[in-house]
Amino acid sequence: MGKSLMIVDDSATMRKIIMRTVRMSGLEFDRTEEAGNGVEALEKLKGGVVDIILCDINMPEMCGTDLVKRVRQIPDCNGTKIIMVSTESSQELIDSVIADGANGFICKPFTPEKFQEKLSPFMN
Amino acid sequence: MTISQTEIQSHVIELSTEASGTFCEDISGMFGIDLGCQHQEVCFETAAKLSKKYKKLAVVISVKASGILDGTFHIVFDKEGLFTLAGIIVMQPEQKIIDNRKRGSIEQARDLNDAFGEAGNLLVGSWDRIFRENMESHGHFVQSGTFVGDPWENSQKTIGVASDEDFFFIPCQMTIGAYPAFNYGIIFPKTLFEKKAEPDSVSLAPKEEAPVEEKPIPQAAAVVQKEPEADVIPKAVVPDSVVESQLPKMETEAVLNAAAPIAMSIPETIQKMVNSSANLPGGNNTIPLPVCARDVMQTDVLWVSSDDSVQQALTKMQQSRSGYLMVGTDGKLEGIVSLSDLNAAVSVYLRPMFAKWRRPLDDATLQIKLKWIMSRLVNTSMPETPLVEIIEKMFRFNCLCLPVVDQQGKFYGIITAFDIFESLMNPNSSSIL
Repeated sequence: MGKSLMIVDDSATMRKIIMRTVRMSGLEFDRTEEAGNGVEALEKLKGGVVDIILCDINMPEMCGTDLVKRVRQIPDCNGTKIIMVSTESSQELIDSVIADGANGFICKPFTPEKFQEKLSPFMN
Repeated sequence: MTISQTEIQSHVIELSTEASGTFCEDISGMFGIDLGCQHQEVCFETAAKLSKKYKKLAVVISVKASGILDGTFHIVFDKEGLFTLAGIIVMQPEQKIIDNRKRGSIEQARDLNDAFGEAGNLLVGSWDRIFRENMESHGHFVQSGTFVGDPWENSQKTIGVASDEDFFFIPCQMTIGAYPAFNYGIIFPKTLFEKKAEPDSVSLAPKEEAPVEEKPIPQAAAVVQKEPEADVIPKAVVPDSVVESQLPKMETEAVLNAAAPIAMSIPETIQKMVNSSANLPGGNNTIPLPVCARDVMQTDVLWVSSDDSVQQALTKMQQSRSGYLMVGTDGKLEGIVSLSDLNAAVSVYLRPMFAKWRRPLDDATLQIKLKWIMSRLVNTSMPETPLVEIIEKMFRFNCLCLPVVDQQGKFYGIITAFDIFESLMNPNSSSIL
């Protein structure tokens, strides 16, 4: 069965860049979703859970760290892997979001190889 | 260690160049297109003068800095840069980018605002990373705004300076793929350096390095420390700067004095110390001593090119807090340069206290190439050279540092007098144990 992906970022341009980079990495998803912030992402998850969420941190309405905490409270999303994508890369921040329940962290700027490395463990 | 306002400016300019290069590498990796940038000489500019070069359509990315730099600086791209960079980010077709570069309007530019936001985000990310890695007192850079339009008309609002007010400007040219080069530049308002960087009042030293007097000194050592140190190492051969950078090791030096009575001839003392076990104050007696260069040498050294300038070397030394730099390429050592060599090369009028008398010729001394001032490889040591021979050589040739190379000229590391002292006093830290 194919995998599903959700990209959560308030910038439509960045969602487009991430989508393109994921494709360039050679990873294939049967279903892809986009959301502009945490609130929108939670709404879309009600319609159907996804396998992987790629999530920005600084977003209006609901930031990425809050989204991680909320998703971890949804029983249906137990198996959902959340990878944070951000230009902020301090160790404190990484440790904090991992402690909140994120499964990985990709620093911007990213490359297709970086997506391959971080996402492929969750593809099987 | 304190650093003056001038040194901070110089360091910031150096890191800005590096950060721009990193941004190009980051974008190259992300979008699979070649980017390159070339910096021109830093100058003073005004918004009025830049308006002629950058015309009425430009994008300004504002960056809020905290830490040693306190305030906002700006990165400006001309019209060609604006449409090329944004076009690459939103993946516009090549022809569209070329058309926009020629005929793009302010409305079309504003449609790309989101792309500039992302470009700014990535730009600030690259800059923040470089400054975080290379500047101890750096706080944080955050993108504080993006302006598309004519930034010069109301420059006080867009870049925070009046139209006739001087600011530091680093002009650069950037190329993306096969598109013609475009202009961009970095605007540093003078106020950015003023709030925290009072002359000789800013410390870039890592917090963990406590002043030497705070370290507990063993009683025996403290007493002997009053003896003149010049008897152990001739004062004339100890560069002030090196002594300063080795201050935490004074305790070690004092203990060495205690173990080697001054009345004894130096070679004999050394022979005794190196060929026997140490009887150290404090009760931890009879520790075997290191025996050859390989055991005490430093292998983690910094390299510079012989064509690098004194300014570049000083910056590198400042960042690493190292007293010596290896000069050469691809691991092939051509010479060695010490902090005292660099201090001797630059004009004394560059010191803040003489700023009033500073002339352009004094600044020019910062551009002297290292190949003219470095010490060539006359005295070296082999990895297996016994410690006693190294010490004797140091005394004979009045040098405090010897590169360690083998017969084929392969470089292994350096050994300084302080490394020897430290290994004699702290044999547990030596690699032979």
